[in-house]
Amino acid sequence: MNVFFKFAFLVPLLPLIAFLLIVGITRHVKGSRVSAGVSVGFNAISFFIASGILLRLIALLHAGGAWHPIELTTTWMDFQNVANFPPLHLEAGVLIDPLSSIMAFMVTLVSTLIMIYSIGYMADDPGFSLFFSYLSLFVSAMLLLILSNSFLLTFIGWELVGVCSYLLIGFWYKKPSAARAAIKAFVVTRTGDVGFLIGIVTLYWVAGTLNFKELASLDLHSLLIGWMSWGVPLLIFCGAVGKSAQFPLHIWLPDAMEGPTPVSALIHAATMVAAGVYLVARSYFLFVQSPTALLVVAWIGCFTAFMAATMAIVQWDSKRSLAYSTVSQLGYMMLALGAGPIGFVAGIFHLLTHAFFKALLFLGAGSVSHPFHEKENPFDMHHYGGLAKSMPLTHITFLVATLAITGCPLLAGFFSKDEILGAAFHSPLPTHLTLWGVAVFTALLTSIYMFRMYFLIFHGGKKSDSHAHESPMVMVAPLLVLAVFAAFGGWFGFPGHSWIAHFFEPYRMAYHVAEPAGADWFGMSVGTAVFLGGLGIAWVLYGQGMPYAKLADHPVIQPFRIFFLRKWFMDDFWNGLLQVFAYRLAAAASWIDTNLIDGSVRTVGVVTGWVGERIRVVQTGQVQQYAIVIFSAVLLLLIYFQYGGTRAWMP
Amino acid sequence: MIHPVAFYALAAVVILCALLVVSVRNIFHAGLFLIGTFLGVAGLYVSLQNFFLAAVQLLVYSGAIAVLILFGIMMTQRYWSEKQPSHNRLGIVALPLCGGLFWLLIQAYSHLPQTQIVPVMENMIHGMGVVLMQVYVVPFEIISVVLLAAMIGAIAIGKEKEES
Amino acid sequence: MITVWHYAILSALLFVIGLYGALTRRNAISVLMSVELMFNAANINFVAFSYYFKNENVAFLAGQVFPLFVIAIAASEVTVGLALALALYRNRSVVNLDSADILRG
Repeated sequence: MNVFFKFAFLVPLLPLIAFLLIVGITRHVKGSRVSAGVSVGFNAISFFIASGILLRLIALLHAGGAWHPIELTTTWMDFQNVANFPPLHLEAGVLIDPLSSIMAFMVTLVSTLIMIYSIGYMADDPGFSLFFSYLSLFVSAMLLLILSNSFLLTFIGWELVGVCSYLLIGFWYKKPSAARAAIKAFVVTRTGDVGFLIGIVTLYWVAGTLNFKELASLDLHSLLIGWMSWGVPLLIFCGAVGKSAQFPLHIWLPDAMEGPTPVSALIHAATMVAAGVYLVARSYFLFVQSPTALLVVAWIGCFTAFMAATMAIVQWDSKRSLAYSTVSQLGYMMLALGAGPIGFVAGIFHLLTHAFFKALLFLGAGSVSHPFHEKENPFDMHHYGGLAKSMPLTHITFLVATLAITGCPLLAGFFSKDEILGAAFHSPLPTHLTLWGVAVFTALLTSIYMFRMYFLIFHGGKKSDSHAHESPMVMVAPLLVLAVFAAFGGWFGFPGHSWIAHFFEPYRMAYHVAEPAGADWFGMSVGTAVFLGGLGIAWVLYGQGMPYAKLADHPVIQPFRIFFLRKWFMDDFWNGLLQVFAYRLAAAASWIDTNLIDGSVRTVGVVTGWVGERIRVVQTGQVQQYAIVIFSAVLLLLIYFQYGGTRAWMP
Repeated sequence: MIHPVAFYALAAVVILCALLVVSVRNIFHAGLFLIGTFLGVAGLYVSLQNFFLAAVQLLVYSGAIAVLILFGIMMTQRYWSEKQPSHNRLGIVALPLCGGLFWLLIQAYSHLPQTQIVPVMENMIHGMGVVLMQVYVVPFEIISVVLLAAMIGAIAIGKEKEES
Repeated sequence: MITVWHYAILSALLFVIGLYGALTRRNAISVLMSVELMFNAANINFVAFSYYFKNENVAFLAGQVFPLFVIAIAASEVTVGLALALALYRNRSVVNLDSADILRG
């Protein structure tokens, strides 16, 4: 067994050790950047091992021949021979296959770059060490999620990343909006996790195992009968809906921008939100046996993509706009996976490219906001404008990322996004053309809002703030590295000679997908047309100042604008739902507690006091009255003895 | 055996004096009537052939206790008040109570044999002496301790507070 | 003929009269005197029953000796009671039982 594979378990373990070291030791070392060094160092080693795994795997695949995913396990809990226990046997292990190895590679790379960026971004923050400890913990949990070999470990990693997300969104916990956003994120994702857990339990109940390899080899058609055929995958999809911010659980992601920018970049662009897509890919063997489930996934993804794009257009906060963009792109990935096995590779490919350019966009937005950090909202685009000259490197990398996401020919997004559109077009799903049409329109919207953002920040007249400057090198260097991947990462999926499709060959064969066709000229022209159309519209509206700014108040436009600004009234919807079910219930319970339960205790006290006051009257202090009482008792006793028969005084 | 007339006379004295003790307004007069009661009771002891007890009754009760009570009255009365009520208002409750108690006691005594009883012994003195010194010698000795304790207690309670 | 019954009723009557006085009189020393009446009633009862009945369960002549002890006890009781009355008089300058209600709830 290759040495990289043998030490695969170190990949999630090393950041965990970093976390423990920082929390235990280096946090107390004052005034130094040791924590950052520990974090980055351990992460880099993880990246090294992950790349080693990836390269070895590539070599193995090249060698050809039969290929199986590599699994290393160790027994975690074994109750099979213990009396009075159900025969439970739990194993923990890592699963190395193309999907997990390339995801691990991406996660470790992006997280290391973002950690380096954070050294500059969080330099003045008093919680510097704590930040890095949380980041390390998060990376460890994410890698656990990715590399696990069973649903159980995945779920553990899943919950852990949720906790880390909560910790990191609410990092500046003294800010009430941040604290609320953190709770909102956690609660909303937990809502999805309920479905996830039910799905896992049902699966275990039916199949008896949660190990991916074993499950994939079972005959699921006969095991998942009746409702379970589409129920189990959709329940698992619930978790993905929550984690990947799909409709209707997308509401937490925009609010999650309260966290520091590196957090937004790492967790809410590149990695954690991708976990939902990864989960669907991992459990794809469950989805493929139910066309209904696939249809639901595709439609939810498509609708989310469209909805989020409409909301992104009206935002004036740069991070909010990017957040909605993330939701939209995640919708694209879900659409791809839902389109059927032909979209599997496209979805994963887009996941990988999106990680790079979205992280780049977020870090760029952070870099742009740096000179404005003493303003109330440093990300308010009203402050920006004409920053192209004062921040050249940030400008170039941001432009590259924008071109990538909108599908500019030859850059990363072009290949991955067009593959998705192609998958939708050729998909065997019943409504695939409608899906394709909406997806194309959404691509147009994507182009519009991304270029709108670009023009608003970097073009237009120069504002009065003349102190805008380029960020320090420690922040710019990761931007440059990411830009390279954003620009050229797409070439791995060049149609006709797609390296990545070749890499995912085992899946293609498992799901009986035909050989990928050559270049899809129709798809590519549609994609290019959409990209240019969006660029043009954005240039007209926002390129030279904002000549049509008054247009926004037009009575026809205004209702749309409000609808999009109010997030399609989803926040209100959820709030109303909670109001009816949760708050009223809580108020009723509180009423019961105060009045009935506390009331009964209080009543006991009050009654005792009242009775005491009444009885008090008897104690007059007068001896002769007491004597009367005594002799009355004697009288009564005598009456009893006299008339109670012989048993009264005869023993 | 006592002549019935003598008995009824003595009984009348006892009851009459007792009634007057509990009803007269002037306490000093009540004390005097108390002495009268004691004398009557001593007579009753004589009628029961227990001359020793009669003598003790006269000596201790009417000779010492009554005198002590009269001393107490004289030391604690600032003025012979006729205006202050001598009875409290519990009479309404006490009268039925006492009546009921009396009636019940009668009922209890009704179980006694109604026929003539022959007395057990005449002239108890000799027997009393023997019994006191032999059977009841322990209580006899302890009584003296009790009296001592009472003396000490009375002194302790009745002492004037020292001005120090 | 005088039977035990006569003495029993007499003692009951005396006792009840004493009780009435103890419950009704305001002056503390009057109450003391009424208590003495009750003692005497009990004594008469003792002696009468002992005179008229022979009982194997009781020691011989117990009823004759007991009143002796009762008298002695009564003496000590009057002593202490009068000392109390004196103390009461010193604090309040009257010996009314009505006013001694500090233990009132």
